[in-house]
Amino acid sequence: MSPAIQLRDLSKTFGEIEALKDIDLDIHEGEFIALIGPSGCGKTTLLRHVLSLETASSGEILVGGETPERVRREHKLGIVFQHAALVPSRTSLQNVQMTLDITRVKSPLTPGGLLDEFGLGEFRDHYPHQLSGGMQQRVNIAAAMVHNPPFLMMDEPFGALDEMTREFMCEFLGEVLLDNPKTTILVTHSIDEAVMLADRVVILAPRPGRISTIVDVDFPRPRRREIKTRSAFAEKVLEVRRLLYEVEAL
Amino acid sequence: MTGIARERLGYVLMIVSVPIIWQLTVSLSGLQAFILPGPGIVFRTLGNEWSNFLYHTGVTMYGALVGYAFANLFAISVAILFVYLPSVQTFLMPWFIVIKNIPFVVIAPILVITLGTTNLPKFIVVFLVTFFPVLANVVTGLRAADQVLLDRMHVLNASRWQVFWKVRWPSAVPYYMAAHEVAFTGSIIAAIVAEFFFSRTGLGYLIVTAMEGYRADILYGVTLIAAVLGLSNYLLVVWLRKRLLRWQDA
Repeated sequence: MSPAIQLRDLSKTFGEIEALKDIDLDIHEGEFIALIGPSGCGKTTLLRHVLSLETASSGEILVGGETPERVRREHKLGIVFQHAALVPSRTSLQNVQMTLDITRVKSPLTPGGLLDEFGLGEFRDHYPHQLSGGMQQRVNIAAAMVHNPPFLMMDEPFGALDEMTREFMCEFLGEVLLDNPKTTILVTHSIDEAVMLADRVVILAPRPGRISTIVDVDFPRPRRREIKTRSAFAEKVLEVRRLLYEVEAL
Repeated sequence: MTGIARERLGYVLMIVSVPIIWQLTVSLSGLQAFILPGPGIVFRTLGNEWSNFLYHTGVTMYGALVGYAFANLFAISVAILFVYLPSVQTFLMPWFIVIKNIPFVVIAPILVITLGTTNLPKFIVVFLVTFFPVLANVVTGLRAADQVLLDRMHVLNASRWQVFWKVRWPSAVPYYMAAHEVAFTGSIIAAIVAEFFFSRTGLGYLIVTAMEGYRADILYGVTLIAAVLGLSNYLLVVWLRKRLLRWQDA
């Protein structure tokens, strides 16, 4: 079976700056990849290429065997950014519904059903400004998933949340993805979050942005937050942290 | 007492105070009625000549509304052009800045000798006064659309039309309403001033003839009417804004 997402010698330059250099990565169907690295290492740029928000200077990207542009047109992508992409004058339900209105995809998921599942049933008629940061982000994830895309791209989705909400959201996202399996790339600054969620943690080095190491994480799922109290988890976090420090020292 | 009740009480107190302060000023200053008529005289004039006042008020309102409607139509169209075709802005902005900064009282007489004593110069003056604030605010509002939302729209392969109606226009509405607060009242001021120069009808004409005939009672009557018009315009906009932006108070 060919990989769900293939990056071949992907390079990107902005003027003089080499943002990404010779990125080679195969991501399997249903796999969860966490991208981690020091600021300016091109994590977000890499993600934006898969989303067809940027075009590569050289190299190739195949998503489900097709170009990102093609996949985008077929509505197979879902995106979640740190800042929730919600229209302030629309309720939670209307914001989620908007994805279906635009894509006109026949989805097995319904906006109302998804919000119920996300524990937001009572808040479907609330406007974004009436919701807490964690709730907004759950609405945002619902809006990104309601058309059931096979690929989910997340850029620091929990970056603006407090520690407790963050842990809760991590566990929540893990469960959601067990019920609705997707090939996922998560850009994060949090080692905990990466180890908690990912099948593989890809560590990027800066200037030029390139893959330094890939760490396998094979804890069984579902992963509850209690996993963080185990020494195996702590060791994995330590391993990633050491590798990150090495990259930063370069 | 609730905030709204308090606010209303403020208006009631003001409306009651105006004739009292006015009468006191008349009595204490000892000015003669042909210079400073008391509220009694002015209200009697308004009552006796109400059909006359009503007619001229209607003429002024008509001029203000027609000019304002065109100004809005063009301002919104140009704003959309600016946002989607920035080169149009590069080309038009120098023209707009020059036209905007010529005082409209200077343009009005030129319009009258060019176009004659039709309604057209009045419409154009109202247009010139109200076009720019609406344009500036709508452009700002359309551009203030959340970049994250625009990215989400792109990834969902939304059409330009969908991006406009679902993201850009909703973002512009609060700015547009703010422009009305200034420009709608401005349209009446502009219509009255335009009438000074040539008109045989309208509140501006009433002012000119009243001055020539030393009819201070008529001048004060027109002032009262203009105050009521301006205030009702303002309150109408506030009410509309509350309705359209109901979600903000939710």
